[in-house]
Amino acid sequence: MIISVRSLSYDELKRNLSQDDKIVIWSCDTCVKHCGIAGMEKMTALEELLKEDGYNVIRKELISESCQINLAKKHKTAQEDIFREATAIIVLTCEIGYQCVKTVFPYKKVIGTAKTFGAGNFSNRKGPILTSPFESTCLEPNTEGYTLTNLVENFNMFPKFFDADKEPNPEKITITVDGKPLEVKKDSTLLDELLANRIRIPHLCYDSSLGSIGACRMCLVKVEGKRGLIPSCCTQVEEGMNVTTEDEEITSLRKSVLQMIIAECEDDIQRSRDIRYWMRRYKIKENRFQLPKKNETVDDSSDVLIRDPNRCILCGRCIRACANLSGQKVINFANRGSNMVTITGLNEPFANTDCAHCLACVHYCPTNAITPKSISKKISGYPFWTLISYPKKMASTS
Amino acid sequence: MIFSKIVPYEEIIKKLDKKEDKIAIISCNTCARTCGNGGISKLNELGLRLIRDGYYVTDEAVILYVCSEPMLREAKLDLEANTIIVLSCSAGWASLTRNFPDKKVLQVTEDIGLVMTDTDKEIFKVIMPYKNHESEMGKEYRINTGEPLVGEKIKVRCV
Ligand code: SF4
Ligand code: SF4
Ligand code: FES
Repeated sequence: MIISVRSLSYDELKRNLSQDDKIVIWSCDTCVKHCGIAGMEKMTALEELLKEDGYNVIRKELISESCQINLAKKHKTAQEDIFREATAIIVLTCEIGYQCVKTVFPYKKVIGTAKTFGAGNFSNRKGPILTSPFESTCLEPNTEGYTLTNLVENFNMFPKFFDADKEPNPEKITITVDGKPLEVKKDSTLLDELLANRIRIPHLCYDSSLGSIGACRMCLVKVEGKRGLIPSCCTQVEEGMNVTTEDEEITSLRKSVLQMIIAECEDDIQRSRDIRYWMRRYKIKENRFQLPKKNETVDDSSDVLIRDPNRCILCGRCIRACANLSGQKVINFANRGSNMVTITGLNEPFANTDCAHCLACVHYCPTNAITPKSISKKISGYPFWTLISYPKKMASTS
Repeated sequence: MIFSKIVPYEEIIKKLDKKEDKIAIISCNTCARTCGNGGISKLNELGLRLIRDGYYVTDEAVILYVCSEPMLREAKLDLEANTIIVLSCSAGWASLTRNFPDKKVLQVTEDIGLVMTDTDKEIFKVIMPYKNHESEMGKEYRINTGEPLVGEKIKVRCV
């Protein structure tokens, strides 16, 4: 991964902006996110800070990989009106991403926020570490790596994100959840606020980076004064709202949805941590519905990805990740009702599509229906006879 | 994305011992594949050539990001080998060196620099070169093969 650290203070950032600017915050969702200075959550924090200080943020644009210039161009085309209006773009990316954005928007004010030090690792113990620094850093290559704290101290950079300089203080309202008052951010999504306050709500099709489509019906709650059960992922908080997150009816509905999923999909769908958790919580041990299991062909034509439609729960996250984060629109739904499936390209193998291998779909699929291709195999025996079967075995192992 | 080039085959075998070394080849399926020095095809090519030349290759693995310890852990590598050839950038090599301290981990690539890519045109372009590779600045290559290209297909405004 590429190692970058924030190079600008919040005050310096503001000095680059004017109160008349129409600002787009642009963020990469890969390396720089793992360095703790980008991603949807960080964009939201920066948006809150800027709005509090009277700036006009007109959009947050999340892109799977900013260093793919063709993806950056597609984002520009998809949001043509917004970008025409924008006068400043704050980029939360590495320096390569910055160059891409600057190239795509040559006449806009593009403000970089990070310094890139070279390549490194994500270490289980230390988090991101720099192992292969650029010469300009005067650091020697080091397999143990330099931590972000080392870099911040030695190069006078900034630890953590902008909200470490000044904590956002967004406008709050009070709602009631399961009989208790709760302060939440005004104009936010109910599900986001419940999750932020550690109220566990199952949600298979929603992710704050992708937005909501209300497809899985797992996040249903009751809101006083509203008819029936409503998806919390598609509901905005309102002052005085009275929410029930769990009762007999809600539990029974969630259990039915889960049981339908389990009935239809491969047994190993239970490898999904979320699904396992909710099965345990609702004490679901066996499959109540007798539905025919899906029996679709696993697509391992791509060099990078494997798609197993038998594990797909039709949540549409990969479709939104591909369309919104990469801009490629490789994955889509086909057919309607109970015949609905996800397809790649014009229902062709992954390898024949224009997949950019940005891996957004992999990161957002909740059931591992799309996984990275990894091979690990033993070559038993000695060179000469191994040679005979070698290439064939390789091709079919995934 | 980081661009690394593989050293010539003759250099690789100079580091190997036909009698003593049981070899694992571990190939990165992200940057190194994009730059034509990793992924399944490079692994196949190198593995086949070593076997043909009488080396004892015991394990092969393709991992999405060799530079990520969580991914390495997920791959649950149980290597019979005592020597690892890493088809990745130097960061991938560093990761394996730390994680397999009892094995000889061979670096067979050299970092050229950080690149931007255009996956539609199948090109990558060097934007931030490493030491001794400053002349690579702005050069373009074909994705997946690493074949050098002439002319400029990606126009960058602010290098
Ligand atoms: S299919 Fe997945 S990897 Fe390919 S471009 Fe779309 S999101 Fe990226
Ligand atoms: S492949 Fe995964 S992300 Fe896409 S619709 Fe199916 S379950 Fe959802
Ligand atoms: S998470 Fe709300 S409907 Fe799926």
